[in-house]
Formats: sequence, C-alpha cells, structure tokens
Amino acid sequence: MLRGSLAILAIVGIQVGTAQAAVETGAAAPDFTLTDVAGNEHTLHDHLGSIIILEWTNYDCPFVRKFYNPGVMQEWQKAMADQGIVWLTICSSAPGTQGHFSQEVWKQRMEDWSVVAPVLLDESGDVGRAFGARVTPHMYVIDTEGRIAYQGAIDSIRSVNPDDIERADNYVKAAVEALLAGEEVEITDTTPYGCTVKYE
Amino acid sequence: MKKILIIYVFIFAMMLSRASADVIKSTISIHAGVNAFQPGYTVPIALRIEVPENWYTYAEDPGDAGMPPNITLNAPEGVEIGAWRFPPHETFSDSVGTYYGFKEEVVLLNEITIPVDVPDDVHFKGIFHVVWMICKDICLPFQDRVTLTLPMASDGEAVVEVDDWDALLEAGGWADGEENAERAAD
Repeated sequence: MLRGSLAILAIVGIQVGTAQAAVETGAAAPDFTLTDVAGNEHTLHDHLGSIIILEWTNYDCPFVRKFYNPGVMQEWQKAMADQGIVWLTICSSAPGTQGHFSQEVWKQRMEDWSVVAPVLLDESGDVGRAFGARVTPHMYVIDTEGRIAYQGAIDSIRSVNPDDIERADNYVKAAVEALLAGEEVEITDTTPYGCTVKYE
Repeated sequence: MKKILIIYVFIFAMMLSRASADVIKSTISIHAGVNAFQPGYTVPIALRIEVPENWYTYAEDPGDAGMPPNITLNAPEGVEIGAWRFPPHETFSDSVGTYYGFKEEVVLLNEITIPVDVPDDVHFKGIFHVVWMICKDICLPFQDRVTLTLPMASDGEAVVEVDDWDALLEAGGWADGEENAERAAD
C-alpha cells in the first residue's frame, strides 16, 4: 500500500497549495491562435516539439512590474530563447481594463522595457479562461508533446519587491531544466500570485 | 552584485512611491498597548492600516490574488518579536477568484520583548518597515516606515495600558478589544 502511494506521488509530482485548475497538469494544453501586438499570428500547436512557456501579463500590475522593471523577465525570456524554448506572453485584459493598450502603446511599452518575446492579445479572455489563468503573472510550462508540465506561480515569494527575486525558488526555471534533462518535473503545481486577470 | 541590488531598491522605491503619490492614499501607524516597558517583559503592539473607501487590503492568506502585509522590524539587538496576528477577515469574490481581507481599516497585533540587559533610563526605539497592498479592480502597493518609541518604566513604577488601546483594537477588527485578541493568540 505504501509503495503504491509513493508511486502515485512520483507520478503526479508536488502540488503546493493549489486550487482546482482549468486544465490538469499532465493533460494536453488547449490549442489556440492569437495575434501579437505586431500583427503576427501564433498557433500553440505550431510549436509542438519545443518546450513552451506561457506567461499571463498585465504591464501595470505591480507583481508583473516587479520582474520587468529590473529587466529580469526580459533576461529570462532571452535565455530561454537561446535554448530553443518558445516563450509566449499573453495579455487577457479586456478593452477598458488595466493592462489593455492600443497597438501603438503596446509597441512603446515593449520598447521601453526592451521586451523581445511576443505579446499575444486575448481581449475576449477565451484563451485565458481555457487555461484557467487567474493572475498576472500566471505561468505555464508545456512539454514537447504539448502537455502541461507545470502551472502556477513564477516563484516562491509572493511580493512586489524585486529584491526577493534572487532568493526565491524559480518554479518555471526548475520545470524547464527538468524537461531539458529528461527528468520528471518535481513541483508541477503551485498557487499563482499576482493581480487578477482583467477579464471582461 | 551590490550595484544591482541598489538599482533594484531604487526601482522598487520608484514603483511604490508612484502608487503612493497617486490620489489614492493608504496609511499606517504603530501603537504600543502600554505607556512604558519593563526589561524582560513583553509589550503588546498594534499596526494599524487605513484603507480608502471601496478598497481593501489583504489578510494573512490573501486568497487567489494580492499579498499580505510584509512587516520587518529594525530594533536593537536582543529585541524579540512574535508572529503578527490578524483579526477575522472579510471574503470578497469576483469572476476570477476569492480574496480575503479588510475594508476601511485593520489592526494587526504582536508582542515585542525587550531584553533585560538594556541600559537604565533608555527609550526603546523600533522602526517598522511595512509593504502592503490595496486593491479593488486594480491593485496599488504601498510602503512606509513607522517608528515606535517607548520609555523604560522607573523602578517600582506600574506599567499601565494606554487609554485608547481597546478602542483601537475594536475599530481594527477585534470585536471585543484586547480580550478577543488574547483569545485569538491562544
């Protein structure tokens, strides 16, 4: 019996205080096609075969600014791209809500922060709801076969202080490193922290 | 490395001051429950957070978003502080999730113990650095420092509770004042 329980633990990985997710970890990530702020279309399943990171964002959310103001998120995005990992940032802010910008403002804000990862616009919130994205930043790591390998917080310290980034456990980085090494992802689900996604 | 940290601190301060400089204001204050301290004994303290109308700040477990207040104490060596206690919270919900927190104002409680070997005739001085967040449809972070100073009781002098202590606690979510707060600490 004990051996059976341990085996189950090994399969499902560790869940840190999580609520019910819209898509269970281990299940196939819902496919979608969204247009980025430059007008380019991105279809999730076009990237199958690569590890994919999805990041829900709202540039005016203090928890998002914690990572972008010091340039940390941009560094991670570049480092991941250098390893062949696809990083898609998604904004589900509805028109008239915080974090929703015109195309011109988006381009300016991305330029101000030197962001190179594409920002995909999900004004209807359909994609955000399909994934169960609740906050910004809410992170998902998808394996090469299109299954969700990790979902939840970006790291272990719920704060808006950039000083906390370095001493926090980075769950996304850990999940990606495990996948690259062909190992099981140890922590598969955590409770995300941040601002609520501004759905319509 | 040190340079990077300084830049981070500067950016963080800018990020917070931007919110604080907005029309929306949320303030904090620190209070002691007694008029003086006796070395080696605990002193009840209270941190009050005032929240503007229609906004709320978060409980220890904030729920699906936000964050609880983060409080750090800078005090002389040997001063000990316990865990902060929160009064019963309200529950807020929207289409995204459920959140726990407080409207209007909240008082968080704690105790500090000042060591027995402090020099005679000193004042206790502790600086509390607080980062907290208020939200409604959007969230704003705030930070501030508040200083608590307290004289040492003279030999034979009784330490007495300050006049407005119970009123402070009742207004801050502790329905029956200190008595209820003590029960919550058990």
